[in-house]
Amino acid sequence: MKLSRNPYVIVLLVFVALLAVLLVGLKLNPRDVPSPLLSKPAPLFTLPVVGKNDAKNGKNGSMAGGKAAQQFSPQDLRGQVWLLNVWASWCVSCRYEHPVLIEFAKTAQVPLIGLNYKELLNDDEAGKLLQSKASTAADTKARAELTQRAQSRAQAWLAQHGDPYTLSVLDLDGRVGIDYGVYGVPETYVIDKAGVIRLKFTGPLDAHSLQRDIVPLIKRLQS
Amino acid sequence: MMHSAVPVSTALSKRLCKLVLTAMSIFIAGLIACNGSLAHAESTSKAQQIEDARYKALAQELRCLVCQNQSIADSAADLALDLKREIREQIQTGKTDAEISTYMVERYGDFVLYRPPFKWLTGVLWAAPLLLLAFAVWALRRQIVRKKNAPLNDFAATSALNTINVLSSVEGQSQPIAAKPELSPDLTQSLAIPASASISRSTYLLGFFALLVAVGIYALLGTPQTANTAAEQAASNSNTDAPAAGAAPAVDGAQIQAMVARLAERLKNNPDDAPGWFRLARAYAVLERYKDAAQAFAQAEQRAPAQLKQDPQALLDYAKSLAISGTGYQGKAAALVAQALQVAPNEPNVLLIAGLAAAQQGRREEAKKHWQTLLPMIPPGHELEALIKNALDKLERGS
Repeated sequence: MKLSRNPYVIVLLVFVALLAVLLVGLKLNPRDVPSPLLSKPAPLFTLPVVGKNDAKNGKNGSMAGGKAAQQFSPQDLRGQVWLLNVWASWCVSCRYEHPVLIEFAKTAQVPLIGLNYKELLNDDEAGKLLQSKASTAADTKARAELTQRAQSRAQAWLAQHGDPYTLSVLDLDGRVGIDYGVYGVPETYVIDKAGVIRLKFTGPLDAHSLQRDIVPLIKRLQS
Repeated sequence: MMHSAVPVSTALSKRLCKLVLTAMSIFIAGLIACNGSLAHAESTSKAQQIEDARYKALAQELRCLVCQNQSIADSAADLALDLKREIREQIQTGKTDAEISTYMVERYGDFVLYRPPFKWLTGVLWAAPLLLLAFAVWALRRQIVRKKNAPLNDFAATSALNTINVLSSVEGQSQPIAAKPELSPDLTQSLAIPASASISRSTYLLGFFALLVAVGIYALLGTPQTANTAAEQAASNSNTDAPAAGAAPAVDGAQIQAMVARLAERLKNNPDDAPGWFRLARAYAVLERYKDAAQAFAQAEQRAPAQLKQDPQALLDYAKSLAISGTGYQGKAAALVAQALQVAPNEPNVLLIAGLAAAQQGRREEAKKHWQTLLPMIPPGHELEALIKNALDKLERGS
């Protein structure tokens, strides 16, 4: 009971405890918000695919012309391990990440799906239109034009920087992004054969964390 | 006397409690008022009003993931706008507040809620303020108890007693408490408790420990290298061009003045300290007290003439001090410059002053020679470059 006799010892202990907590807090990254989606089924969606560049992929690209745009849904990849990478042409960090993805795509044995998130983000007119619900025929037509504009922007960006994606889908109004809890582009998700999210990586991937966190996980999930 | 001090200090703590309670109730009333005012949104219909209120309340309860320290109601981040749209739409489709909150938590985790749910993990978060408050109250109580028992001869206790006297006289208790407790035999007895000694020792210990921890943390997380390089830079600067760097280091003017005054005082008592005289002289030169500088240099020269002869910077400072406080670069000042030139013929500072001295004495060719040697040494764009070129022009034109 000698300890409790001197209040300053207790003050000291409390001080040390508080200090330890604060010290740990200093080392934490506030951006590392744990995703509640881990070990949950990847939210489903159906979105139009960004057309492949004409120059690169012959006929595949010109889907905007006649028929409706090709669609993609996560269910198309059931039974496969795959990666979902959120990107946009306005996203600066994506440019930093991009060479890593291109390098990865050369050797990867898994599909890399790009989720193009709010391509027309900085377009005020597009923003207004997307905030409202399409009700009239004119709205619908305007939206089709927006999709067209986003398509060409995304294609141009991929043509300029290279295209590591198996395919990319257009999430113009960002609703799929919300379903995946996207809050900072770029983000990368690893999804297993059963369609369950196994990993979420927020921020630009670098070669080191790719080799350390993602590649081994893919191998494990594939076996 | 002792027996009257006890009820008074309990009266004081009662008063404190009352004060705290009043403050808390005012604060809580304010909080309630704030929440209530949210409901008074401008809107047309009753249903719209309810919807708006729900929307606002929800938006203020949700954290903006992009900015992290703003609610989505306050944030103009793109994601916050999207989430607000989502809330609006979900309210319109008839979802309850709880359902909307769950929707957000499913996507962004508990972090999205400004009021995290009470789980075992967040329990610490919720309990911490209460624990800290309890600890503070406990410590305060102890302090009061200690004060009551401890000798009342310090200023704080006396002033507290005065306050209590004023309070009790307001309340009508006519008997004031003695403000000079050392006269009371009861209290002199209580002086025997060696409380103050043990306090000061552990206080020192605590202070020392805090210092140690602070230094440790800084070493761990800080970048002490920056301080080092700054110090090194300052040191190297003062070696090469003392007059310019003297003003730059992080010590402020008053501190320098005080240091110089102390040095001068020391030299008065111990005048044989030649390096001390050099330092004092240079300091005076930096402070532009040239007359004092010249005198100090004279003292230094008297004691260590050989050292002065080998130190071009000191020679220059001495010459400059003489020239400015006297009549320019003549006689002694000129001799000093010549000596500096002999020791360090390629030093930019020496060349600059040597040129100046030569020009003042009308030896144009010599001045030109020095300055032309100097010119390529000046970094391009430096203000000195233009000055020297200008001076050379003047020499050329013979003015």
